[in-house]
Amino acid sequence: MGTIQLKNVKKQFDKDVVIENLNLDIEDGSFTVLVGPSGCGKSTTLRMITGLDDPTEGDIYIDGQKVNDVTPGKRDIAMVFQNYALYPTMTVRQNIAFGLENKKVPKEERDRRVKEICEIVGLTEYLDRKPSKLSGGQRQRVALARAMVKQPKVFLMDEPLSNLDAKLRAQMRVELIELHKKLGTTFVYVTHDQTEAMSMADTIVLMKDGYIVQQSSPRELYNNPNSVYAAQFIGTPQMNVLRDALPDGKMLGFRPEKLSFREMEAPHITLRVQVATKEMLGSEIIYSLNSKYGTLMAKTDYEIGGGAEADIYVPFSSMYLFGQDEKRIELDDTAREQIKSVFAE
Amino acid sequence: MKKKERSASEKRDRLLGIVTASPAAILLCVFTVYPVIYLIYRSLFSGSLISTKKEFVGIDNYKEILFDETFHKVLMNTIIYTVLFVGLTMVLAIIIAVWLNGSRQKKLNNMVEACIFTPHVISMVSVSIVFLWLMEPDTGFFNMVLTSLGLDKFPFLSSPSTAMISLVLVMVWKSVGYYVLLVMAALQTVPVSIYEAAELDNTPKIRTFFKITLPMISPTILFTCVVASIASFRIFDAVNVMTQGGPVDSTNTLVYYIYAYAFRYGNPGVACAAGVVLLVLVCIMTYVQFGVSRNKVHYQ
Ligand SMILES: Nc1ncnc2c1ncn2[C@@H]1O[C@H](COP(=O)(O)OP(=O)(O)O)[C@@H](O)[C@H]1O
Ligand SMILES: [Mg+2]
Repeated sequence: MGTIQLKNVKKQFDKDVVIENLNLDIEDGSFTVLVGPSGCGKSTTLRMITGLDDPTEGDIYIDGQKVNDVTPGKRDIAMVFQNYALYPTMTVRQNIAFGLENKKVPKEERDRRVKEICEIVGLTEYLDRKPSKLSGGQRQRVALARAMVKQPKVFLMDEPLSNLDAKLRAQMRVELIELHKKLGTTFVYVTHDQTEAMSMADTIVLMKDGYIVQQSSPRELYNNPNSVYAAQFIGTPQMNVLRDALPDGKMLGFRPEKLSFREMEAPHITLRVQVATKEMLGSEIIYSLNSKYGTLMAKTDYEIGGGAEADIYVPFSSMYLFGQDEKRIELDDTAREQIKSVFAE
Repeated sequence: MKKKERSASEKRDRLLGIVTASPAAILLCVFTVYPVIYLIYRSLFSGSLISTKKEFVGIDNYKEILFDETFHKVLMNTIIYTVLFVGLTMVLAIIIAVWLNGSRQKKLNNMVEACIFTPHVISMVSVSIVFLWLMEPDTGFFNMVLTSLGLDKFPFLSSPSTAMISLVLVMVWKSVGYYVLLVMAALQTVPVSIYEAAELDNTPKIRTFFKITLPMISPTILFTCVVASIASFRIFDAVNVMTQGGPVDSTNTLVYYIYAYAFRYGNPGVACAAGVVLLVLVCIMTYVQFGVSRNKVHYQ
């Protein structure tokens, strides 16, 4: 089993407080993705779970056991590094077997396990090559194999796909999802890429400046972001947020794909806009629109010429209301009335 | 048409190559190639240093050193010295470098580095004289310390059985700092994440050193071994100042032998023959070191 808990964790480099007070629960068998802009403390969090960095304060539990004083090698975890960190002087076989040798696994079993894993990740032909003679994708697989062969309770990965080209990245993404299904082990995956997070995670932990903004499923994060930050982090183009349309510093948000150029039945508001730019994506078009409240983005299949003026319609069911502190607030009847009256002018 | 264009630019490139390389090539010819050729040529003649009269004697000079027991002794000494010096220096340099590299105390590190590097910049003659005085058997500082600790005196350079090791220790003391710097530079090129991977693989420290650190810095180790071997094959100044090859030829080395033949016994022909032998030995040694380690050294 592989649950992970961080309790009141603080991390400080010299005088720099990187993480103030972090509480994180990761379920056994989950595919948890830590996501956030670079520098927000994802790697630091992951490294504290591995034990490569120690928390300045607070406790870390793996599988219910406090591991603050357990060395990384004894935590029953495996990590895939961003740059793979393969042993350059060893062959693929030696790289994969190295951890098992340290564990004093008998040679026969070692060979069997190495062979097994290599068949799964497709490395059998390359067993006797050095990493320098492998492509980026193959090195990635060696790094994975090296982690898998240890049969750890938890897999930790720090931006493992960021050094691959787009096509290979998409392929590895699928393979990792399948691997997770097959192994059923806890995966903790760090990325700054929201698409990666959305497509792979069953739980997303969205971070900012060393704290957790929201922890939820990808669907929940998309449908129910708890703040402007969460709302704008997920989705491209990012959510439109009208910052000075409403009184009392309240803000109104709606996703570019939810607004419409077509008249609708459902309760809605209407906005007059002018098309500024138009970007064809094939099946959809991304417009940037000038409105009374600033630039809005739209993503739709509706065709309209550049420079043209039009009305856009936003249904209440797709609106998000945020307070002055940028936190989400309920869009209740009084709020609706207020919005209606503002946009009726 | 196109072909002609390319050959014109090719010609220009070649000319540029020749022009830029020629100063170095000329220096190499004047100061390396010519002396080597002259060395071989001169080794086939007899005659003294001062007179211009010399006589072709074929390989007689070589025969002379081949049957000279002192030469055998000198060869043996040189090899023993080289093995001891290179072995000790490398082991010490690696240990010190790994220790300095792993320690987090910046100030202490800088101090240690400065201390062990300083001997490298002092002239060999000064070092020799200072150690001659320190290792003086009766009144020297080392033996004073030993006797004050209630230990027996150590004969150092005055006994044939301890002279060589004393010489080696002085030379190691003088040069180890330089090799520490080279090894440290190599250690710093090993990515931290590889050590972290090893830590996650629960690798014992010793195994990390032998399986990861050492292979990663093996090109530097090989290079420094070759350089140190060549340097120690040519040891001369310390011998000249401290022991003059004695006692009883126990520290007599190849270059000192050459020097003695040329300038003491006035027989440059034999000296040149010994010089040729030195040249050949150094070539063989270097070749063997590179050859043997080809499969063991990891190049990026
Ligand atoms: N070893 C370190 N020493 C000092 N500061 C560090 C160290 N590692 C990370 N930091 C700082 O901690 C912050 C978070 O870094 P990191 O966890 O690597 O971010 P992320 O992985 O989310 O991009 C950054 O501001 C970074 O500068
Ligand atoms: Mg990072």
